[in-house]
Amino acid sequence: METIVGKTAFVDLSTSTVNVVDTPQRLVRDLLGGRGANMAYLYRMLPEGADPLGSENILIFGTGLLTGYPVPNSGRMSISAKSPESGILGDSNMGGFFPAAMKKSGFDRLVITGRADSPVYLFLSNGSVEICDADCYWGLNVPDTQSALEQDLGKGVRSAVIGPAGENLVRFATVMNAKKNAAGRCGMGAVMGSKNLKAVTAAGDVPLEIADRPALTALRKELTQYLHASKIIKIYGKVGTALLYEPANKLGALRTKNSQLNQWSSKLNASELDQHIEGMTACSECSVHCRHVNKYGGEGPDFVSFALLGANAGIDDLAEIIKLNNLCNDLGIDTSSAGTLIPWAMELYQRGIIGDELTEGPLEWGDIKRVRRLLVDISQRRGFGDVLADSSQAISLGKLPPEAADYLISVKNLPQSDPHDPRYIKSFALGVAVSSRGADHLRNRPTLDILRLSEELREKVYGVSTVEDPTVYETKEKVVEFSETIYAVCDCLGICRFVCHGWNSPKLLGYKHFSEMMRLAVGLILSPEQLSEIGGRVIDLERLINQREGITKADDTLPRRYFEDPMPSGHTKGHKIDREEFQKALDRYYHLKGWDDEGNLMPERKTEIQDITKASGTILKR
Amino acid sequence: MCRDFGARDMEVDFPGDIPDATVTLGELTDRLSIKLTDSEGALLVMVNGKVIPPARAREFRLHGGDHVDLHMIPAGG
Repeated sequence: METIVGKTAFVDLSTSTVNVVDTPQRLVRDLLGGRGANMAYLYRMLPEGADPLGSENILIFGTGLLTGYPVPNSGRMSISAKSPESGILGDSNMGGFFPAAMKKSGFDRLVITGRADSPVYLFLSNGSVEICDADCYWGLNVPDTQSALEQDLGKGVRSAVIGPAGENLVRFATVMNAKKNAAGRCGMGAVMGSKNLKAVTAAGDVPLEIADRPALTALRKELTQYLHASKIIKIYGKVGTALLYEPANKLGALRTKNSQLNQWSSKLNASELDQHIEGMTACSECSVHCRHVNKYGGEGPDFVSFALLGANAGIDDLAEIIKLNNLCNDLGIDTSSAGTLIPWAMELYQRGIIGDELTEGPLEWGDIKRVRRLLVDISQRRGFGDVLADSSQAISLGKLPPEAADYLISVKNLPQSDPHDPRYIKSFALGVAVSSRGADHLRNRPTLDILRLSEELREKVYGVSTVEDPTVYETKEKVVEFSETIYAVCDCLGICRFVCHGWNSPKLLGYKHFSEMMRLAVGLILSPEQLSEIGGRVIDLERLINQREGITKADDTLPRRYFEDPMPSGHTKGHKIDREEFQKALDRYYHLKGWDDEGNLMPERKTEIQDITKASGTILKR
Repeated sequence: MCRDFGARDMEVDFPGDIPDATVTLGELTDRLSIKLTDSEGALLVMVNGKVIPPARAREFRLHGGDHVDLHMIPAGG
């Protein structure tokens, strides 16, 4: 039996041509969809050394294999390209309602090349792609663009758009659908801007073919009940990720003032958020409802956004922080990068590494007005905002002095997303160092390590024996490898991380569930073991892409501060990363992955992965 | 103690006949009907700012004036 697949559209914006083909069966069998299949196209089609903001970069919108199907939390997709922020593979995952609409418009994937002469948007409907004039939308912010498109194309049409930041090639510009749903990381919005692509819109009204509808309906009900029985899911639905702030703060694991400190004000505790919130909302097919609707016209903030725009910038006014979060979303700016880069600049100013002549006036901790103005200036590439708009690349571009690198909290040039300080949790530190897109927690973060679970529970979560103590390096490579593998499978399927086994509970959805969902939804039969193999395959393919862009073992590391500066207060006081122990853990991780001592795939494995990418049907660019 | 989201710090009084004026963390959480560990994981337990591993938490002895934090940590942002 063949797997049910949709279409893949190749859109060349330079020639205004569209070529639609069936999504290749072998690609689905070997890499599923979403992030995994995107990587096959990125590997095959991206010219080596391509300018991320040049017409030669390729931009891929890829729905997960299960995106849009009636199974729990299947509302996600991946957007991939070479990242203008990090210079390596860029890949960003988003939820909301656009991903399901794109699938229901007939498309699994869009592979976008070239550059339009003037602003355009894509309209996907019933298996066809139309390239449309977007002159009248250019210059609008995110919500205005979405409103105008809906007004012009009809209610129910979903759109993924860029704001001023994307248009102005800010290297950490987002792609937004709805008020807060962002493909936030790696500057995918800037890649859209560089192609003069303002939006991708989808009229998702084509019912999906389902392999076994009655059985899938029953499974959906069963899994929804299973998830709702989890206390973790209930808590998420009540307070979202904001709950993490207080324990992280009390523990002394909160990035504060660019990680010079590790604790901040209790004014940002989840209990304080309630007065600013109207309710909770969700993505399509969601069982969790983790997203806040705030009283200031936006959605959020999640823990990442308010902790980085708050504690990390020395701000403790929650209402103002929420407004900053909303502003970032309106402008199309990644809160993770903004909440790392602005505090970085504040520390550079504090230390006298940069001064008023560059910053155009004081840049002090806690200056809300200054942060607000800076966000707008970043989006317009105006004044000092133009410097920060280049993110970590500002150093190599000569806009900031070389010593600024000593204070940047980034890995592989991507500013760290998670507000947790990894100096205490060694598995988290290793995960941040080896993450394929740079300093990011959504690739492999082993969140449960902090709890010092029993041996029995740890084995239930990770499937292997590990050391309980979060401050010990031994065995933590197993935790990272387990986490990155199952998370990669989630991203290939289009399933939300928050219901993924191991992310926050051993009682959520794992390989067995995924296997059954796939069989009933699209008729693809793969065992849990085969799914795990696919996860490992995706990580290996991403390694190949990054190595082609110059990544080596030396890049699998952490910011200087994490090695040299001990954490200053709280339970974590005195902890930092030991270079020698870290290197040993990295070597063990490579060994576990089957890579050589330098982090290279073995020749036969490299050939195997390359052969799989050929299923994309595209020509390898060199 | 923050028992659940929305709850505020609360003081817990124990009868004066407890030996050495101490109680175990297990006695405290039993009184509050809170499970320190279950099939989904464990609470993050901190006493006076220090983390107590769940395996040792039930028998950990508390003294008058100790501050206990119990946190559910669901995920990563």
